[in-house]
Amino acid sequence: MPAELVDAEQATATLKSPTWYRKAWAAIDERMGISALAYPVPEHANRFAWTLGGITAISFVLLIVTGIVLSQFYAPVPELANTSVRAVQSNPWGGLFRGVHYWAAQAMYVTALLHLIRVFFSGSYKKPREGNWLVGVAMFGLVTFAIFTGTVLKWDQEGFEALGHNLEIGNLLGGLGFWFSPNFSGQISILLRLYGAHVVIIPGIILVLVILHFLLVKRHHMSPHPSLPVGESSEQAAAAEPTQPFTRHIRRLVAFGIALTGILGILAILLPAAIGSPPVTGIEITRPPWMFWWPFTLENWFGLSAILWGEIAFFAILAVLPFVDRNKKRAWRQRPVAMTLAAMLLVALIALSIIMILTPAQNHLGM
Amino acid sequence: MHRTSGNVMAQNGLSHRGNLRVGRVRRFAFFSLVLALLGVSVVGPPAWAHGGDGVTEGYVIVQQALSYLVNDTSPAGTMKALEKVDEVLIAEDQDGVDVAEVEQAKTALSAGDTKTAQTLLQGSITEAVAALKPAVGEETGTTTMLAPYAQGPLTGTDWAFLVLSVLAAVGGTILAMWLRPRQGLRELRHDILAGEDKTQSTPLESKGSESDAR
Repeated sequence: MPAELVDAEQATATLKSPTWYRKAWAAIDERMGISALAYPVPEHANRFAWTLGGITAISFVLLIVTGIVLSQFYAPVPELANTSVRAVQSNPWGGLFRGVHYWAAQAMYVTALLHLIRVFFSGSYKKPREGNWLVGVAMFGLVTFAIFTGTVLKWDQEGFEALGHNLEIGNLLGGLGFWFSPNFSGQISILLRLYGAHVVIIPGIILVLVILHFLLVKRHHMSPHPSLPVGESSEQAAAAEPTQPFTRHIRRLVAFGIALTGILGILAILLPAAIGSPPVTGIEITRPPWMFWWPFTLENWFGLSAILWGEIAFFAILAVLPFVDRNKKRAWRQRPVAMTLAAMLLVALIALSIIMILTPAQNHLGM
Repeated sequence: MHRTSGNVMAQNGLSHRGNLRVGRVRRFAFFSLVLALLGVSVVGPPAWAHGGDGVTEGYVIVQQALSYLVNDTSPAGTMKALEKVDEVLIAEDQDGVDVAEVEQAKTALSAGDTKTAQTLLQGSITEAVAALKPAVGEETGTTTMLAPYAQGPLTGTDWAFLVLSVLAAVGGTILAMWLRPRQGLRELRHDILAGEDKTQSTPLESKGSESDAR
């Protein structure tokens, strides 16, 4: 049965539903304003590519829920951190929550990246949505930082080597890298500060930016689909495009959320998150998580500072994009320069990542 | 009318001066920010020492040998561990390290007995790790070297979670497919163009509002 008919049936059922149900719903809605979410959005917003941002938000919710559970059993002190993670992993429930947390982080990174690519391909970052693009880029940077801090928290050799690189990069920044200096707050372990960043500072800022992101989407409306006719200003979807209530968009997101939770559960059990040996200073024997492979190839070629310059260049390119690309066209066929440059960047990042797989771990710290 | 033009000119003049002022404020703010960043960079804390730049404590070198042994069970890992054992035997700082046990570990390693070597190496630093204070800064706080965590076979609970997860994945996918947009892009485009044509061919009717009157 088509979903529209189901909507109509549900509306009829609501009318036929008992008076007490309608009264209760009206009372709740009057106080919580739930029906305000039923504002119209263009039909194309319900397509899979346009729900990637919402799926990213669902991953974030899963990360918060599983993170709250894990924080009850994690000891953020160097002497106990690794063993406490092992204790969590050895419990069936603990292993499941940790696995879902780990895979939800991967899912959030991937869906955020795909969302970013979709926004680029459909030209949705163009006027008047430049500000929201910057908010999105900032969130992507924070997600990367959250994955880094999460890697360090398990306090194994991989996490400690990641921390070592970060300390050295902080060192390269001079005074600007003060927060990463272990001497900044010398009486406690840096692990404790990174734990604070992982569970409070980073998710807190992401949450604020998510709210701003959603408010700006509501303010500027859903961007037009490049393959569909646009409105008079070309900044909005055509007035003739059919609309659906936003609640319908949310309903489809919930369906994707259920599927995503199931997929993450399968991955958590079949491919559990790893825990390495407790850390030792002075050696490099591990590889970083896959999203950090490309800057680490640069490090192998040009030294440790290349990680810093590579990341700065990557995020700078993303940040300036809407201000440099003044082409008003949104369809990818009509933007050959932007598409060629983006393809070159993507190929370079993939090539650098593949080279990292083929290269044995090398010692860079303190060199 | 004349007064109005004067007002406009005055306003233009004001806005020109205002723009100049805003420009000056922006430039000032920008250069202040750059100076502040440079200042912090230059005056900031000095560079700190970091692991890897010549570890001298004997017990840390023993831990490095142990790390090679638990992370790389191939002959290459044993070779690297042997190098570290040699390093600790000539290290200046052997505080808390039982050198005799390290020598026994070397013999075991040379014979390919990595299990015994691990036990001996861990035992050789008992005194050193017992004297460690709570870790601060970037100290590892590592006392006992453990092998990477090995996940056991799936338990009954794991299987139950797996079945539930598969059901959720399949159910969610079916639900998402069921709720997918009715129209393809081509049909949607056709409908929009048809809708626009209809709007253009239908004469606009006044609703009697003020805007219609204008």
